[in-house]
Amino acid sequence: MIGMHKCRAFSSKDSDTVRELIRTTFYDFLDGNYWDWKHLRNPDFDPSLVVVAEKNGEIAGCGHGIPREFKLTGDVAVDSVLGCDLAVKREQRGQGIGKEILVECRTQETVKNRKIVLFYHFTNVNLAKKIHVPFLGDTEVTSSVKQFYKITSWKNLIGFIEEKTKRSLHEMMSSKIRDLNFVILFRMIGAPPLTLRFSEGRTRVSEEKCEDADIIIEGKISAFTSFLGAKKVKWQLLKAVLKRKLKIKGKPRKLLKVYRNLDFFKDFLETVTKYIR
Amino acid sequence: MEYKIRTYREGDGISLAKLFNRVYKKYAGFVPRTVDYWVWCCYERPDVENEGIIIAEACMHASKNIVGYAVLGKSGNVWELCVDPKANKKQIALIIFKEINRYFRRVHADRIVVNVPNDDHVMQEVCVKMGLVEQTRGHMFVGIVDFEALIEVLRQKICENLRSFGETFTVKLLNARPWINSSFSIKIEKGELRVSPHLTSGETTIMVDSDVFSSIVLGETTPLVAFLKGKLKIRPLRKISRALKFLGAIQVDSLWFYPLADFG
Repeated sequence: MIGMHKCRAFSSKDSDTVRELIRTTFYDFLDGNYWDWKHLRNPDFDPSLVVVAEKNGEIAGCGHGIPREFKLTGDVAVDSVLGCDLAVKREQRGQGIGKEILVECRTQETVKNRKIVLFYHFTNVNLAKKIHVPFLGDTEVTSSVKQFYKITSWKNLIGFIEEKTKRSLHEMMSSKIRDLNFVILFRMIGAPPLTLRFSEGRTRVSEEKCEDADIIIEGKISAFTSFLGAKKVKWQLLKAVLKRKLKIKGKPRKLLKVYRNLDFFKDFLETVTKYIR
Repeated sequence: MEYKIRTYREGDGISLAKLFNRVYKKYAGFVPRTVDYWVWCCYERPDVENEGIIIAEACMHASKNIVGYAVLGKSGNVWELCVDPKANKKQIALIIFKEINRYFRRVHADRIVVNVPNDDHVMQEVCVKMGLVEQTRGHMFVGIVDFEALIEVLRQKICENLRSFGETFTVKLLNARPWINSSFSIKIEKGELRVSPHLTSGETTIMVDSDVFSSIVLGETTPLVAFLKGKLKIRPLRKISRALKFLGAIQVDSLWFYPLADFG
């Protein structure tokens, strides 16, 4: 419920708590060092544009604003704020804290004092369409950005999977899958081949072009990320195949078995998706 | 023309910031570079080292000119990529990209990510030639908190488009969020524009949902389409044409582009 938390501007004594909150929320790219550079060491840093939400005297969430010039047209630029790094503690989510922080960011006295004309951000589109667009009235602008991408090596991903998910992946598999030996080859355009091998009760991930793969999944990276991270993985996979964004070849029995047990690969699939993104 | 590649030297920030602003002048949505901003954003970025800032110079007689550069993070991100369009863009881009590949191999980066404008076909061709593929782009959202100030800064552009206008418009924003002024007036006369946060008895009243107005100003919706869909009311009706022309004049009509470095 909105209004049950107290929002206020950031102060230097909040640094350690906010840094840790950011590190645990955006663990893959905003470690402490990065947060310090992005905010504290930013020559334009304005603590009054960073908002923390407190519950029972403890910081439950934070949102950051970085003042910037923002190019509009020709030689015209306006004073703006980049909204970024909105984080709410996992156990405090779903209570409207994020929304409170976002509103507080826009209604701070400093926004008027600095004559801020607009806020802009690069929030995840699903989140923005759920909160920022209907609640704050933000508009998605038609981007003229083309992002080009190439994965040169799966080495780091393989290392990560082997350490963190190998055991859990094997534990999750049903006895039906465990007895089955098969190899899945992922051929993503713009990336080396990635092989997932189940054999003799063990799983192995490697960067190799496996000629004897039982199942081959081919397509653009974007097609993989759209189904790999989806909640309804099976449906997204079917959609991608029907729209010809993905091609799947393989032995029918093994295809069916893997498809039926797709949920057991969720950990692996989510790890790959996060890595690609 | 001979081109040489080198890495960053102290003092390059001035030339690099100038080159960036010149190359991306026609776009909207990025931070115009100052030296201070460029140094913080690129040189001091945690995953950028001196050897990761690649500079291409054109060597002509005794002088050297910076004609392109790339700022590379050990993460594999190409934070900024700039090539002077007046130079031999494709050749310079290819030279820079070869250095990009070399650097990323050296630091064991496992990916290459770069943002290129939609209409920069030369750079896109070079990316494809280097084995990169296009992937789903990010999304950018803008929330205007001060419409009057925005219209004020666009005054020159508006007055150039509406030279012969002599009109006062009253804009009433419906469903405006609490931090937005829900009504204001704009007077255009003899090539001058004045915005007033107070309502004055304007000749023409425009009533529009705040989100729709934002969408019009940011160039995402045309005034005519909004009007035909009933999302825009104009009174009196005989002023429809002038009101639509005015709304067309306040639209941001640049392409929206941002380098990875502006992302955060």
